[in-house]
Amino acid sequence: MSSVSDGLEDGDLVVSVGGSATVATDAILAQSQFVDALHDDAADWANRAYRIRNLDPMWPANWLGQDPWPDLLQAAGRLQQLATLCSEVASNLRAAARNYGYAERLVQKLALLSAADMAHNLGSLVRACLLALYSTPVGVALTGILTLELMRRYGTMQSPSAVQNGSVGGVQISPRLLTNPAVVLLVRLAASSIDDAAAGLGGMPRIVGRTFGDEGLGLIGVSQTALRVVAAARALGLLQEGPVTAAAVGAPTRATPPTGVGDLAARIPRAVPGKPQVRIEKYGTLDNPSWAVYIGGTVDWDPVATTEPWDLTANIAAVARQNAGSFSAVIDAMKAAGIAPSDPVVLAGHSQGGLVATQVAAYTWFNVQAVATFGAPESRVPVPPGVATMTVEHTDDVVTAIGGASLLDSDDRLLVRREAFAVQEPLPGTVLPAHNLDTYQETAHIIDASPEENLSGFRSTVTGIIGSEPGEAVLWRGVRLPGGPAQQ
Amino acid sequence: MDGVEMLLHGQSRSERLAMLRTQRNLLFTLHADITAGRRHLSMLDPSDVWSSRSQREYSCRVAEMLGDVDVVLHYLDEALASVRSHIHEEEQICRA
Repeated sequence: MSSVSDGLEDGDLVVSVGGSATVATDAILAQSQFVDALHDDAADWANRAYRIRNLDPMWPANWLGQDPWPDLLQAAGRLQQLATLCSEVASNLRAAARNYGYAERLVQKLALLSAADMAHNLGSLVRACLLALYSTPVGVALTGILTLELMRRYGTMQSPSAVQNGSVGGVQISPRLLTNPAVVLLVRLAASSIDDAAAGLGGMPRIVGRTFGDEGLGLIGVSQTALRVVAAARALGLLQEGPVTAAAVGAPTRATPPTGVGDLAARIPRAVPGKPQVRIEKYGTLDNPSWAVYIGGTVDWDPVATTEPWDLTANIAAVARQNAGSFSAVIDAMKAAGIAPSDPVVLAGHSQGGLVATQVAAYTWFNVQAVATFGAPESRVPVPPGVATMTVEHTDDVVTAIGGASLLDSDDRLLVRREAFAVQEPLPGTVLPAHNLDTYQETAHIIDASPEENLSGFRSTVTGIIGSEPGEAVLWRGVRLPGGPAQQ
Repeated sequence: MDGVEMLLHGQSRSERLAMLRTQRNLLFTLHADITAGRRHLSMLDPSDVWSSRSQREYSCRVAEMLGDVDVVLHYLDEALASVRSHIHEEEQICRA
């Protein structure tokens, strides 16, 4: 059972509106919206009943016999009572969602704070032990043995694709374990606390982390940790970014406009080596074009950068808020496709593609008006105000947690969560099934089927930007330039 | 009176009949709209969404709203019956 959906049915959509100001299942939000509408209807019905009564100029004189006006008066009175009751019920439903959002945010902040404290203490303890050990010959010997053992076990730079295959250091990790909301939460807390452990290890006072870390102003945290990882790895010849280029693949094909979130998810290119990673669709007229850009997920998990820009190097660079190769390739492709700064753009991305989509929206050269991300690692990339953002996350998708906890508050951000494997078991042999694009496409269709207003509002925003006339689609492939990645 | 029987407020019999027919039509529409609203309201089933005390409380409120709507529909049925009766009477008088 998911901790975030405690008290709500597992497998339901949980919608957070405005960061986490309002959190509820889409069903509860839809009910509060229906009751709100019923309030307006009841008030309208009451007015109509009064007007029907007033049509008869003789109604005040008809005190005897069978007259409709007393019944109409009673009906109007009851309808006014109904309107008041609807208003109260809708208000209570909204308050429940707000309280849930407040409680969830409070719990999340407390958990972050506790995890950060614990990590800092652990770092300080390790530091103290190391200092004590280094002062004795036994300590030096023990440290050497430990280091050698660690190098023997993990020294070979194992491809993280091994983690994708469910094994680390020869230890087989159960795919079900990695598809567990509790584990995902722990990973999120751990990712947010690595900087605190490092701070403890470095002897930095705790107050620095509390003030500037994820639990405080968010100025240091996961992105800074990723930056340090990038710096350290580059010294070892790993995670080296380089210049990229993007080129169209094949001729333009006819495209029908996306009608909802399901269509957006369905058109994201699959992460297949050597295949296009970006799809750009053009709609509208020559004078007023609009665009939909779809960005795929990580293709190559090797820490040694190759010609594939959708790789681990770009992933970590994106989390570190650096110019990732995949980001540069998308920008190149968008410019080469002819997207002008004033043309409205809708972006959709899966996994790393979602992270890149957010970065493209934050890169204000394009007129991005809507962004939909599926299974992207959480990040604090500031999407400009006014850009409708839908973040779709599975609570049992561990990849969304590697960026830590973003705790973003934005009126334009709609966070939709669902535990993908709350009820059914993942197919045997599938690795990170909750992160799979197919699973996110399934959730996208559930979103489209929901009557909830915020979800249908996002759909309307997308269809409003793109229009209903057919357009054309071109696939693009980004390549890190030959000659090897350049040191940045 | 030029052969036209005037009622209170200067209304003629034919004008009154037309007014009653308008009332009847408007009551029909209002009744139909409220019946449609009731159908939607009766589909609000919180059992799939919540559990425990919240669900019971919410179910009670929904039942209360349904009760109000049923009472309203009853009054509208009565009003409609009265209007029909008046229309019948007026038609009889006009024919006579």
